[in-house]
Amino acid sequence: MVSIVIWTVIFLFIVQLCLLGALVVSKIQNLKEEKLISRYVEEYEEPFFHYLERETEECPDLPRDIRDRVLIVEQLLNRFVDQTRVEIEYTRLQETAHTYLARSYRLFLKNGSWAQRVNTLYYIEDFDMVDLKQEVWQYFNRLSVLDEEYRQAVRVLASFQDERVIRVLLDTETIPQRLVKQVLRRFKDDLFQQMVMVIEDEPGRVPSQVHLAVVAYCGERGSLDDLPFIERMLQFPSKEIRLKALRSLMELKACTDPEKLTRFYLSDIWEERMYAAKIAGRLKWESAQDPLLKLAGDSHWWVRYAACEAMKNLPDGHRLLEYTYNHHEDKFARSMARQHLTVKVGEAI
Amino acid sequence: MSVDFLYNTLEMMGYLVIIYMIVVAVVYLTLFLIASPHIRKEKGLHREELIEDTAVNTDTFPVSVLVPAYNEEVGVVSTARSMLALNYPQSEVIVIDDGSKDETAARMIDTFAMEPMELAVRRHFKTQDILEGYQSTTHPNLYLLRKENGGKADALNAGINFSKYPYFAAIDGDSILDRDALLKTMKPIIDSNGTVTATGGTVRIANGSKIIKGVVKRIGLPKQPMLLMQIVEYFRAFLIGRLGLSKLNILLIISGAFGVFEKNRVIKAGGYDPNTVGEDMELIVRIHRSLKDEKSRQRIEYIQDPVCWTEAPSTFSSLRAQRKRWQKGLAETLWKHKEMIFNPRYKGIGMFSLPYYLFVELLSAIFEVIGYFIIISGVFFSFVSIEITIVVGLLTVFYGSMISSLAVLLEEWTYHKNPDPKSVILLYLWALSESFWYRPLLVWWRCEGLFLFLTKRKSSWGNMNRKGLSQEY
Repeated sequence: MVSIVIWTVIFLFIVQLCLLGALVVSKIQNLKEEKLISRYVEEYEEPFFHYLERETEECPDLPRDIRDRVLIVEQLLNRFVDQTRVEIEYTRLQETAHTYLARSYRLFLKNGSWAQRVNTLYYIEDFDMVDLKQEVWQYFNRLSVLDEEYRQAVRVLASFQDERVIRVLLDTETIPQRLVKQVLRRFKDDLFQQMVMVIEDEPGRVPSQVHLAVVAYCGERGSLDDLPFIERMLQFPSKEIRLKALRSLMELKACTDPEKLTRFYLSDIWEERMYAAKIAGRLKWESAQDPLLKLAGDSHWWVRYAACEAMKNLPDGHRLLEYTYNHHEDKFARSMARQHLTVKVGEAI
Repeated sequence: MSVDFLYNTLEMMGYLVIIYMIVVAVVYLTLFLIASPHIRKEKGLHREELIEDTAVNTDTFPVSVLVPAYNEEVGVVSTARSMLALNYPQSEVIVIDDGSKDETAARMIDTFAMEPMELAVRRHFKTQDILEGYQSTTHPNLYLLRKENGGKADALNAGINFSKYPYFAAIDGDSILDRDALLKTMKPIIDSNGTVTATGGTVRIANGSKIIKGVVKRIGLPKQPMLLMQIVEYFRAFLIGRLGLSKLNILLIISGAFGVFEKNRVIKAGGYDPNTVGEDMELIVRIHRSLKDEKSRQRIEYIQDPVCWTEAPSTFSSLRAQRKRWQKGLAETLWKHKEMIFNPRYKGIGMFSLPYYLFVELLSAIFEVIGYFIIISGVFFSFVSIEITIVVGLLTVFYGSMISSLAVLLEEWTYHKNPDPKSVILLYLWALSESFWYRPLLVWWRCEGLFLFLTKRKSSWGNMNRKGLSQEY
């Protein structure tokens, strides 16, 4: 037994030593390569940026090694996209990406590792490589697992304004709301309006997560053109849709008629009462003083919090909060008003 | 007769230790093999791109960052700074001063120009009284709560009561987070649309690294062997243990140094238990329990990225105190949830995870002590056959040193965060020495921790004699 154990341990030790040797050698090589690439990136940054900004028509001569060249161009373009504060001139960026990266990216999408494919998709979007749209679509159709690779492929297609994504959204019951919103953020107005129209015309056909995402996104995008659509959603039987509509109204800071919110102050659903209070505060509705005073003594902490926060936003908010602190019949309302008299909340946070 | 009995008993114990060590080594390697395809898959992924969209997305859930602090005057300001510098769309930072006797509160109030505020705190959990609340005038999302001393768990519960966002991150007062740590850790929660209820990331030891104003500028190694060994130990714990358990959704620890939780789930589970020193693990076990009881599909996930930097004890006395506390906390948690162990109702948690923590993490100290005893008995007194002595000795070295040195290699293979090849070799060589000096010490301290648990002696916040992680210039 002893000899078996001794030989096993010696064998494992030798394996470890070989592994250590291999790792150290590969680390030395990697560090060398990283240094080389970062030296190139520093060296080429200025002339390359001049070229991208059209200050010169001559693209600097890059190293001949294709692997190095792809890495250098990738880093330079990425740095350019991240650093440039002004409007990026995408045509030159696209041309450059097409010249140096498109061929390699086609290969990566076909034969690369998972991480390499996902990285490639990030860069295809960042560099707006719309010439690869068809390749990405074909590649997307091969994906079945809803992981980061799938999500990024959908995002890329959405950023290329590919209408086929709408069909994907409508046909995928399990699509997450967050991903739908990421798609909507990338859509230009015409594609977004197509989504709204589908909801208006055939609400039963739309997966619930897509419906919720569209209503929620209306608030985020901040266009008053969507106000009638959102207000119609307030009448929707689904509680989740109504809550999203209320939230969107709050974000839009708009509502055509304060009367539309009256029933929500009295709703059995605490989230609806909370949003109603928040909207009243955002819109500085003096007419909402009475409901807010009532909601300050609500049974739910968040509703009390929202009511007192809303009071603070009203033109005479400080006085109203002091009144609540001194005279409200509910001790929790008094306590909440006291906190809001001292805490800085709202826009500052 | 009695001599024969002694020989036989020692021999039996020798075989028991041999079988134990082989089984544990196999378990470690199996766990790693479970985790390795995932590590391999994500190798080379550009993580900055991965979180780019999350950083500006309005769907990124707001988070309350809770920093419990007790006598942390040295590190509390740099920790708060590190939290304020986090790249995250919406967060609040709540420092909870748990009745410190030093200048913890004063340093916070002075540095961040804090002013008193009135409090309307919900009482999800009963805690020691909150004395005062402060809000920073320079950073309106920074709060300080001063409360009566009640321990770390009590401080965290008070922080949860005060917090206003649906998720909270619990962070030790001596830890520093990478700028993107919160985004990376929240990503599984956001991507799963709330199916993931708690997450934690890899914690690394910061001693030896250059940290300026709460930001890790250069990763380096400390000079003290004791600190180097702790680095190796962390690699071993995180890379070989937790990743595998996480992939099976049976992870029982999200490090107290940094974890993110869904507030409602924690409230449902009853919050942190102030009666244990292992409150981080105890909470996770209770969350698992409530998930299984509700037949919920929510899960707890661990991300492999190193996101949190912590100051390791740099003296033997503080390391001893820490390990005694950890061992006691582990024993308390396992004892409290003993009916879950080997209970098929709790599936992987009951049938694998809890037994793993019982036999591998808790009782290994006992088995290792027996192993050392057998080696000594064999070498010096010939009470045990030379065969068994050699086998136990070799396995002790294999179990201690070789698994740890494997962890060093795995770290290099997966994350290669070590600054240069020299550091890898240095860590590897120190890892090989583990069985000869560091591990016997740990084993002894862990036995002391078990003794503390058995005698039900009280522990409180650990005194680490911290030097502070960050330079302020």
